[in-house]
Amino acid sequence: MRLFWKELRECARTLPLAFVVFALVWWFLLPSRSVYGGQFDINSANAAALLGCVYSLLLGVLQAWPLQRIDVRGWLFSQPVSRRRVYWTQTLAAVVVYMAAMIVPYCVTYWYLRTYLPAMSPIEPNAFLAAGVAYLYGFIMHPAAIWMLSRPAKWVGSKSFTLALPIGIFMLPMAAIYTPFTWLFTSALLLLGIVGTVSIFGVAEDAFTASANMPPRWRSDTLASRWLRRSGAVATTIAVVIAVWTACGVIVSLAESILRSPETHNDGAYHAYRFQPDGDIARVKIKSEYDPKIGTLEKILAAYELPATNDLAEAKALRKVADDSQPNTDQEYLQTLREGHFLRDINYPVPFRLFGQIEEHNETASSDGVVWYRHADGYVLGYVHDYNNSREPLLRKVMDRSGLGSTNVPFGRSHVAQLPLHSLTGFSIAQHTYLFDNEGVYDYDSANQKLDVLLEQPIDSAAIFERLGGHGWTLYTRDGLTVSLFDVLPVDETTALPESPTGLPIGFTPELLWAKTKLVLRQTIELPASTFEWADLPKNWSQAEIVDLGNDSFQLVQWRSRVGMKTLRINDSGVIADSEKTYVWPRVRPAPLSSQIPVVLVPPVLAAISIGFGIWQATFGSPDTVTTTVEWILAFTLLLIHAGWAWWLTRWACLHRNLNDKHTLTWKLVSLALGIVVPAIVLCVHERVAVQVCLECENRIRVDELACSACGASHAETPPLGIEIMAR
Amino acid sequence: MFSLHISTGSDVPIFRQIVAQVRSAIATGTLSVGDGLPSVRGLAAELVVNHNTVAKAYTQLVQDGLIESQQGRGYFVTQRREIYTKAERTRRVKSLIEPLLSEAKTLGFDDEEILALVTNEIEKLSRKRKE
Amino acid sequence: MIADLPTAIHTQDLTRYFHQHRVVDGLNFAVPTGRVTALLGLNGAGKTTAIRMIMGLVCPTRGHATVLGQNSQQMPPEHLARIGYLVEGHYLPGWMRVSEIESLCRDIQPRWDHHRFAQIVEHFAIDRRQRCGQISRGQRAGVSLASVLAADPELLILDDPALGLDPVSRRALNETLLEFIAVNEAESTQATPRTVLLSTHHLDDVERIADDVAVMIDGRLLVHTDLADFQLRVSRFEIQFTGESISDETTEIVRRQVSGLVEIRPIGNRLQICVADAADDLADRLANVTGGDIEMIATTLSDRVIAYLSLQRSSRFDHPLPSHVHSEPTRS
Repeated sequence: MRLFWKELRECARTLPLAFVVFALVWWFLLPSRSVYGGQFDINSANAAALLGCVYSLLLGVLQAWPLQRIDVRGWLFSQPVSRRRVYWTQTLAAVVVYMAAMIVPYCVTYWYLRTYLPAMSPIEPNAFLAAGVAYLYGFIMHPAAIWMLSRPAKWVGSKSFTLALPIGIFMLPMAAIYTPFTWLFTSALLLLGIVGTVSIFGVAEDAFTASANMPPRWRSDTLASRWLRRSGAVATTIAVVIAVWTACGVIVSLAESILRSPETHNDGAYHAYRFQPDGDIARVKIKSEYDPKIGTLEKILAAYELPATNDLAEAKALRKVADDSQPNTDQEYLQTLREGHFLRDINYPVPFRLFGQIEEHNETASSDGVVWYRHADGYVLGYVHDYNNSREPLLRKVMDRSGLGSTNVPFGRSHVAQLPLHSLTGFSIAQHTYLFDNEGVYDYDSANQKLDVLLEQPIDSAAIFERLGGHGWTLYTRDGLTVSLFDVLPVDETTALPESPTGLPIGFTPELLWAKTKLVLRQTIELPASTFEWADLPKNWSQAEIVDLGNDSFQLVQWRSRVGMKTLRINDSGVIADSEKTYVWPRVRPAPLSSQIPVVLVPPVLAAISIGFGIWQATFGSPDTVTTTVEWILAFTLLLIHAGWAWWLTRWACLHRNLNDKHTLTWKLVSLALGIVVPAIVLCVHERVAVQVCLECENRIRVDELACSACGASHAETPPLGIEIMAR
Repeated sequence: MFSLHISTGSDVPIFRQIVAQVRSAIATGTLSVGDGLPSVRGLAAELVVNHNTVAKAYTQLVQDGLIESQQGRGYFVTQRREIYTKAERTRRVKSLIEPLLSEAKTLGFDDEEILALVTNEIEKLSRKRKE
Repeated sequence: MIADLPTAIHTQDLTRYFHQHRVVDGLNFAVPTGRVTALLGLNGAGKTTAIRMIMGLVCPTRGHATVLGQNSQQMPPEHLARIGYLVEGHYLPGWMRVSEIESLCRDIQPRWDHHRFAQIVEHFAIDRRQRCGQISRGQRAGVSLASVLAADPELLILDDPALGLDPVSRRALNETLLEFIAVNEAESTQATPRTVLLSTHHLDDVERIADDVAVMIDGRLLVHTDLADFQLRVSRFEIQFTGESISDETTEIVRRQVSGLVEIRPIGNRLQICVADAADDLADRLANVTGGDIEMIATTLSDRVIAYLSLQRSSRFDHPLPSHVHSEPTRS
């Protein structure tokens, strides 16, 4: 018991640091728990696995490092306590400290955050299963550290190489989860992981009890040699599994490449729905290609007209329409951009019914492929960008004051940087686009390159809607707590504003402004003072949206990252119908146990697997590119040469380490699967043994052998001279 | 009072030093017949030496017939017994006289002076005994 | 060999390599029960490695050591409880208080005698509340010794206990050790005799404490004998010649005639020789051979030890293989 206290106190010296680090991690992770449940599970499991690995490694090193000194070891091991008990006492002490380092900071952080973070929900065991198990599994690095420091090896590299085995074991279950293979393969890897985890404790215990700085003696059946043999068996099993896996992969990919018909060969094209220049929607077959000058280009291979019924299933039978409109050169492509003939992707999902979006960012305004940049003195620069890859400006338009429209008002005299010129209507293909900034709303005539001031008033945010409440086209602006709603009316009374096409996915920013328009103030609404206040962490970003509720009202929705959502319902007469409601984000239902398993086994390092996979990929290529038999034969020959080379080098390494035949064979077999790293492993894992020259045949023999293995001459030395007999 | 002093790093082993000092104490009369000697353990602790060393010295003294061991009571100075032949005794004394003479000669004493010194010492010794 | 004496430690062909370097070389060594054996030798002679192999802290490359009847590599805890081991440098966990060391040892030692611990700690004038990292080296030696002796061991193995100690601490160490072995005295009722093996460089301590002396050099045991007997093992003679100087031939004759010659040094017309394990009639023979006047010179313990160590050294310099040069010492 006293020994345990001693070990515990030695371990506990690391606790303050661990508490701080762990508490910081939970401080950043915990707030996202209620909002992004799945995300939290993965993040916390990753963090716990990483922290666990590092901390258990630290604990193991702290415990085993002093024992590197032989006087410390002598003091400890001469006490009448078995070394086995010492090892397990150390492990137990480390476990206690290890768990305390996890639990205490969590509880403290949780309790502290809970006092002012309304979104915190009570502890749910399931939500922490992933992190807990990953953390527990991270303790595997503790025996690894003990093993690393206890095993006989002189070279630092050869010691630290020991860590490769536990890391490999740690990764086995991860690999099982993250590689989409059969359940058989998955369970085999899981099983190996468990076996490896158990055996690493045994190996560490054995290395610890036998830590006597001794060259390995294979022939005498010491405990150490038994364990080494066992771990060798584990390693062999792993190697066999990997080899079988590799072989299966090769066979499968070969069969696939042979059996795959040319028709199903994937050429990278995909289908999507796009606007045509005339406003209709077509189904198109697109292939993305990268052009070093322009960026990514969408080549439309074919376009099909949609049926009137909107039945997408019938689309396949439609006529081609767009073959001749494909841009073939850079110039044509630019032309397409400038003329607004670009086909737009409309195939994206949206979570809410978004009509207009009030975004708070301070970059550029985009319209018609033009990106606006604003200068402090009021000049405005417009660039035509390839908006898929907007790093290089393709065309520059300069608009000075004279080009700013009829009012001749200097543009942006007192602008703050926070809200530059901003498009209200998305990437319009229409002639008139609404732009706004802090000081007003403008109409940009893309055909004449004119900017007309429609409204001059301070604006914090603005949005335009095709319908809002019971009204038609509406402009919404907000300045502080004052909301103004404007009717958007055509200047020419005879021209009606266009309707959005029906059948479109909802949540589509309105843009179809073909006519010149004017704004008429409809009403002004004062929002309650508390509308934009949040009692929470100040750094979280928030976003506001206007949601149309139908005929009589609309809603101002704000949502705050990681915290919740607030709504304000405003009816058509400008009265706030509902008092403000706050919704804390609903607690995320804990994922079922079965879906947690992958998260439980989050790997900190998947490098080895990916490297192995990469080597395999590089050797055999992806199945898609296996087209000729010649290439494959070349790769296979290279593989054979590589394996033969690895075999030969391993044999050489084993000779140098004086391993017996059985172990030499095992390592050679491993070298076939793992390649030329194996000789390096052999040289690292096995210590060089002391050898002497046989006086009879001049072969090198091990010093602990009493007879020369080559000529059989006896090397049992006669008792050295000078032995004195007790004379009394 | 009888007390012993030993020195390490000398060319005389410790047990010989003990033997010599007990002998001289008996010879000078500091210890007389029937006097007890310190116990082996006590003396060993006092001199900070191994008790085997003391025991060995006492064994030597017992062999020389100077002391005897009384079961359970310790060691006592005994009546001197003749344990050496006359020739041996003569040889032992002679070996001590030789360095005395050579030293005295070197220092310039003549034969009469040497004899007088020896006689003087013998008288002193016998006076001590009588007391 | 030492079959007639019960032994506490017995090693058989004990050999240890560190890589290609042979540190302990075929050590056949026995520590008799109930006696104090001092292991002497130069630095790097393999004393510490031998002791570590005896304690099972280092595996022998070849051979084995038997400690209290048990193979040293497989000593169970109850067996270790019978052995007290003082590591070189008196290591103790620096953050632990003396009292904590005591309670730790009391917890794991089956025969703990806290009176004895208190007594020894007092003897060294140590404050029990102090941490082991803060007390002086002598005091740390005292705590180590106390924690080892209070466990009432049968066999005490001390690896250079006097290393770096001041004279006062050394005296306290010697007194404590002597008190420990005092129970071996015949009058005592103690049933199990106590055995001590200590390696040291302090010959004064050896003279006071040890019963037997063993000398190691280059990993080999050179001599192992009773301390008093050791005295007889080395003789120093001075041969006085009549002529002005000594011819090389005479030196060569002496060299050839005397086995176990440690040192031969001509001084004017005298020839000083130092001989290990001299035959009884060596003086007469020398007189006959050289025709000089032979005188014997007394030697101290350090003379003798140094003689032995230089015996090996000088022959090593003369000849690459010392074992062929040095004839086997005769049994005396």
